[in-house]
Parts: sequence; C-alpha cells; structure tokens
Amino acid sequence: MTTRRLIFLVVFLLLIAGALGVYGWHLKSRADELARGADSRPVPVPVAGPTEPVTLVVAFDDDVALRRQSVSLPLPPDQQSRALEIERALLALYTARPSSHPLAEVSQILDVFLTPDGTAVINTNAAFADAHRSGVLGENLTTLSLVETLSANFPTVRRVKILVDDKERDTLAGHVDLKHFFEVERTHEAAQELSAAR
Amino acid sequence: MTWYNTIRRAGKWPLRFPAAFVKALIVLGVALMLGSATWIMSWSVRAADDLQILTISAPNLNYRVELVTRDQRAYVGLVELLEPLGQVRGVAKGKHWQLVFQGVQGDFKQGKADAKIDGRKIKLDARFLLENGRGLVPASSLFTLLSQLQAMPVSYQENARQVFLGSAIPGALAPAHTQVPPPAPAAVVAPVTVIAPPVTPPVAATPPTTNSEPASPAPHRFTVIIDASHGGSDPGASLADKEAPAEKHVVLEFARRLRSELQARGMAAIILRDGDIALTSDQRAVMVNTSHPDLYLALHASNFGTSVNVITAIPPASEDSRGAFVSWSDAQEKSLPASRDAARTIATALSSQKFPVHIFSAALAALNQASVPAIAIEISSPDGRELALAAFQQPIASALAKGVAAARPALESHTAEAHP
Repeated sequence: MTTRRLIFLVVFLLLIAGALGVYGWHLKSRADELARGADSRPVPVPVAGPTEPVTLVVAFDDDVALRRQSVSLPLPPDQQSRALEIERALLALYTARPSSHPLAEVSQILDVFLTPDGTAVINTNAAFADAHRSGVLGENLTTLSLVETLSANFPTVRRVKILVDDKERDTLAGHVDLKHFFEVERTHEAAQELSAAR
Repeated sequence: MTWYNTIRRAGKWPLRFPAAFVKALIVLGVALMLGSATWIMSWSVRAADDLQILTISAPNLNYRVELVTRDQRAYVGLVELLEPLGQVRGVAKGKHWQLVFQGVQGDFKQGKADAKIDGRKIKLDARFLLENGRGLVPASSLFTLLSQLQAMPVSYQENARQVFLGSAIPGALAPAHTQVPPPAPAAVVAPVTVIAPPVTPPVAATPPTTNSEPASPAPHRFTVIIDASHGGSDPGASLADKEAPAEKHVVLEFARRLRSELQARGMAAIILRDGDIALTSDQRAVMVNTSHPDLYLALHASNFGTSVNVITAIPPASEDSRGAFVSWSDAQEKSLPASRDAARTIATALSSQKFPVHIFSAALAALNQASVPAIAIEISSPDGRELALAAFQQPIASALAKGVAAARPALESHTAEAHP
C-alpha cells in the first residue's frame, strides 16, 4: 500500500468515526428530550368520599415563615395512607407554579410509615433531594414543613425520619442533617421560633 | 527533509512551506530546547545549594525538619515530619508507599499526586516521590495532609516555612511557646531536630515571685474557632450561575476576613479549614471539642434570599447519652442555651448595622456535635458573584465581630462554668 493510499484510508476511517460520534450524540439528545417530556409524577391514589379538614404547615420563602393552612382533602381510611395523602398535598403546593416555596416538579413523597411507638418515616424520591436548592434556610424550611405537617395531623408522632429513595442520606442538599430522627418537640420549637420572628 | 517531501508528494499537503523555512524552524526549536535545559539545570543546582528548613510548632513540642528541592518545589520527608508527633511507619512496596501514623493509614504512589488517607482521597499539589524508601511530599500540601492525619487545627505558613498544630497556632487558647530559637545554620541541621520540648508552662512571661507558691495557670484567652464549611470534594452550594464561585471558596474568604476582624478586637480566632480540603463533620467536631474554644462559628453562603442567617442547633432525638457519657450527635445539648443567647446578641448587632437578619434553628450536624456554644452564620444573596466580593463580605464580617465581642462576657462565663 502506498503512503498516499494509507493517508486516504486513515482520513476515511476518521470521517466514519466522526460521523458515528455525531449520530450517537443525536440519539442521546433525542432520548434526553423524550425523558424530559415524560411526566414522571405519580398518579394520585383515587380517593372517593367526603373530604376532611387537614392542617398543612406551609413554608413561605419571601418572609421566611411557616404558616398553618387548613384544607379539605378526601382521605382514605387507614392512617398510613392518610399520612401519605397529606404529605403529598403539601408537596403539591411546592411543585406547583407559582409556589411559596418552589421545589423541583419531579419531587415526590413515595411513602409515609407510622409506627405505634410514635416514630414516622417519610420516604422521598431521589430527585426530591438531588434537585433541592442548597442552603441552610431553604433546606430547613422544607424539612420543618414536612415534619410539622405530619405532627399537626398525627399528634402521636414523636419523632420523624426522612429517607431519600429508601435510603438514609447524610444531608438534604448539603446542609440539613438527615442522618438522625427529627424530634417533634424540637421541630415544633424551631417552627414557632420562625413564626415569632415575623 | 525526506518526511516533509514525502507528505507533500503523497497527499498534496495544503501548506507548502519552503524547505529553508522549515529547516530554520527546526534549528530554532532545538536552540530553544537546549537553552531551556541549560537554564533549568543551573536553577536546580542553585536551588539544591539553598538548604531549606521547616519549623513545626506543636503543643509542648518544637522541632525542625529539612526541606529538599525536587521538580523546583520544596518537598519534605513525611516520616521525619511525623516522627516527633507520634508513632509512625512508612513501608515501600514497589511503587506504593504505605504510611501508618497513630492508627491512621495513608497510601501514596510514586509519581502520583492522588493519595488516600484512611480511605479518603486527597490530592497533593505535586506528585509524591519515593526515594530509597523515603516518602517525600510537597511542602505546599502539608496543610491538607496534616489536617487529615492530626485531629487538631493546623496552620501552615508557607513563606515563613512554619507549621503550627493545635494550641500552638498563633492566637490559640494557650500559647505553648514563648521563645522559638532561630533556625540553626544549614550545615549543622540534622534531618530531624527536636528542640527541647517544654513540658512545664513557660516562665519567661511570668514576673519573678518571692514566695514559693506554684505559678498560676496561664489566663484564659477568649477564642473563637471559625469553620469555613464544606471544602475539597464538597463544594457546597453552587451559587446561581457558573461564573459564581462555589460556596466553599466564598466561606473561606469570609472566614479569613472574620478572623482579622476578631483579632483586631483582641480575640483569638482560629480557622478550622484554612485551605481547600474536605473534612467530615466528625473531624470538625473532634477539632472543636478537643480545643474547648469559647465559641464555634460555622460559616455558610447561599443564593436563597437576601439576609444574614444566624442559626443554632436542633439536637436530634436523644440517642445513647448515659450519665457523663454524651452521645456524639447531641453533644450540643448542654451548651444550647448559651448558643441561643449568643445568637440573639449577634443578631442584634447585625440588625443594628441595618443587615436583614433571620434567626432560627436548624438540624446541622456540625452544630449538633459541638460541645461548646455553636452558631452557624449563612450569608445570602441572589447574586452568587456578589457573595464573593470584599465589599459585600467585609461589612458583615465587621458587624459579626462586633456581635461576638458583645456576646463575649456571657460566653466567657459559660466557659468558666463548663471548664472550671
């Protein structure tokens, strides 16, 4: 093979490699676009029947406050499903736009577990933490809001653990500690402190 | 010029330079290479002649080690450096070098800047060198290394070639040394020289007494430990846009400004992370709880809102505290009232300077694990780049230092009660 042919061959192979790279990039972009377009939010559990009043402790970024709001929701009979529906109603306020405390639209509460000894576990999806804005104030409002809403509707809850995608995580988004249980007595004081500072 | 002509003939190369021009280019390149090599060699010889000494000041211990120049950088033998501080062993296995220092294990590799301390990855400023079984690390990486190996604050002053450890840091709780002998002439310095470790408190500063009463202990000095949060592989919050620096850089600058402001008001201030290294919350707590400062200040920055946030702990649900043994995670419990009092005083001082202030409690591991009064300060602005500006940080640091000065009497009383 002459040097000239060798050069042509190398250039030809490089062109093919380049074209394949461009095609691969195009396929990836298309897959990402489709994934973005898909609505991955959970389908709400169909609940029929009369609505019941519940209390949501809602975070407000503008004036850094937690405020209690009474809303009416149709709720299933068993306690755990009720807790899940209430937490999801709270999160819906944050994933809607505009919101007083915007969180990523892909954020979800996957499960809420209540145990007879007063322990509650809130299990969120990974995006809830991954897409959360990083900062002590923002993370604190989110966690206090979730814990306070649960304790406001289930007075027997004494301590709350927040899991992310079934697993324990060190922090929500780099600051607020999720390794330990939130003691409701303490979070209640912290929420009152925020309200009193207004 | 065979290769050049071959390519020209084969592929009709688009750039047709005259052969004379290419020849001149090659001659110029060779001349440049020869010149650079000569300059580098002469520089290396000069640098080798200039023997450098590193002074290490640790509590009750002061010693010097020899620095060597490699790759135009100052290097230090790690075993020689650590030997006076505790049991240390360095073992070479092929290109790998394993260090064991007081139960902490380090893994280094010849020619690589990446290393591991107790499984955690660290990056040295330059490659690790292994010479006849002796592990050499760049002196500029000493802060990173010693912070990981030693459970105490570290300060490395590169220009002065001095390392301070724990309470030996200038301005720390109890100065361990009043006199540091000047470095001996290079020719007589052994690789490791331990300079008379003072076991008893220095008496030079004490006026002579005529009675036989024992010398009273050194007076307590009000000390603040400033923790620039995050660091190393943990950048903290990304502040709005790509051009804004990461939170870890913003808080380090802010910590340095605050240190100056506190020192200007007569308070001792130590920065826990005075460099870009990763520290776990446990490591931070060990450093704070063994130093017994009067106040621990953890600094944060965010683009959430426009305020200065003064934060105290929310200790978690009580775990395994039994009698005198306090659970690591709620060590803050006993100091929480003092932390809250100090937070209110600091918030008042900030408000009086017209800064919008929010005071609240949050579950922060660093605060929960501190056994001394502990407060987190979060500076925030929607413009991430503004957070890094001196014009933004300096007034807050000044007002914050005023607040700490106002809280000082109450904090000193708390320290006196907690550590009589």
